[in-house]
Amino acid sequence: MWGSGAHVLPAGPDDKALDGPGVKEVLTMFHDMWKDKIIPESAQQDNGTNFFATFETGKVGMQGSGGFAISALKKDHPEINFGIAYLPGIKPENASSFVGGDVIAIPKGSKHADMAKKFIQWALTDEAQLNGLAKNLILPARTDLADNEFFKAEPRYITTAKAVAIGQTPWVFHFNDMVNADGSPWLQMLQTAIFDGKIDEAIATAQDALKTIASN
Amino acid sequence: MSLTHQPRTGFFYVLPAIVFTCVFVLYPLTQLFYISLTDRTLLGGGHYIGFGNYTRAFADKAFWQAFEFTILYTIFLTPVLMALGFLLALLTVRNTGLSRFTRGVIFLPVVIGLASSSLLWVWLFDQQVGLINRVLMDLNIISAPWTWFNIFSRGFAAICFSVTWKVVGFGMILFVAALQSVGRELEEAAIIDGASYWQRVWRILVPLSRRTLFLAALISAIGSMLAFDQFYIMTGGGPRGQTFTSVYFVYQNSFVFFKLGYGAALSIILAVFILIGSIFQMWLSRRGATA
Repeated sequence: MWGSGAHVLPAGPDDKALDGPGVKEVLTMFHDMWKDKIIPESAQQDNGTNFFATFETGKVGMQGSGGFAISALKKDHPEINFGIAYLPGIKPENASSFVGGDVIAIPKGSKHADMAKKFIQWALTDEAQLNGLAKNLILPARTDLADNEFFKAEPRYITTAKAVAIGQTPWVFHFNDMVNADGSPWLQMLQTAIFDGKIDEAIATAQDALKTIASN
Repeated sequence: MSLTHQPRTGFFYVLPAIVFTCVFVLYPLTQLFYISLTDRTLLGGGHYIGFGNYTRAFADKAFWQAFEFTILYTIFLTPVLMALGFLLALLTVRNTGLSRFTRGVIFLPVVIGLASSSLLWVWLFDQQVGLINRVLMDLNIISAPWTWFNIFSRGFAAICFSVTWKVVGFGMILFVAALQSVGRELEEAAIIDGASYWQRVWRILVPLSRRTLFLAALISAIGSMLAFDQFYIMTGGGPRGQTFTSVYFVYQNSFVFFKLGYGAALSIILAVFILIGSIFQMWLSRRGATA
């Protein structure tokens, strides 16, 4: 959806939700895959916790995942021959990625904010990004260091690191309520659209629910 | 010793229980009520907002949907547990070796935690590796493995089945004790009068076990109103948010959305409803006893 240019999550009650090209098209595509029986049946009751485990069975052809998957698959499943691509959009030139997972934040009212800022500045230096992260096959946050000596032996890491430059981070206060929580509007929209085929109804219901959460 | 010393002595005997109740019941309850009057979050802070959380709760459709589902679950499961528990008690009331062994086997699941039981059953009902689908397919009841938790009726049935397996032994033990306390001479007199087995059960054993029946029903109903573990582990509130219970909703608001004040208000509302239901049930029990 991001790759297609859609605005997904509302930052506030007046912000748009699930708006723009790609929202309906992506859900329709997944529903078609479901109708063609190329999505595992177990996906119906999966809230996302098993998304990587199903790919590890070697019976799933394509799976959205993260940079962690490369080292995990090489170590645990060397028999799986896999490649890396950016998350596509609805047009051939579209692409995007999710940037996040591990973040650093300074809480409001912190007594050592200056010291914390100095640490963040150091964490973004070449030394920290390359010797601390890339050397251990962890993606550096700086996109200018994507093509580094430690990743040369495994070009898939370079592709993944370059995805940071075109990716997005959901920047909404109630992300947990909207997406990650059990029974969240995002999860219910996916289940209703993909498995029940009620795409327009799913989008409309999710838009209302997301805006209600954003207004809290 | 004068009479005036006895009340004081009695007070000191109950003082430990009073202290325990104050520390572990009254104080937390008071603190919960206070938090419900604030907009406190899980990260601390918060200001006094009066009954704002309660106003919001009464207008929250999602909460009342969860409450309605919890009531449905309670109304469905309680009679099942009572009837099955009583039947199992009738089956195992005699103190023979086989009866005692059977009682032990049926009671065994009661001692494991509900979370452990739910983890066991979520894998037994798994679409790919679950034993339930294997058995049903081998018996030609289904032709292909079912996905149990993507359809409300199947998920609800699976949870009710697993909870019944887990807790029916508790009711059975209570009813065995009640049945064994009924005088044997009453049954013998009824046999002499020509009463059949089920007539003796319905006209002698059930009326004389009424107090235990009501107690077991009250405990079961309260347990069902507070259901959380099985739905959290087995359905995650799905499919489509249809199996969210009241406590699950409270948990979600308090510890996932961080709205501790709102969660506290929801807890108080739920506690009041359970209290009203319990009082009504006890009134029914007393009314039945004096009828």
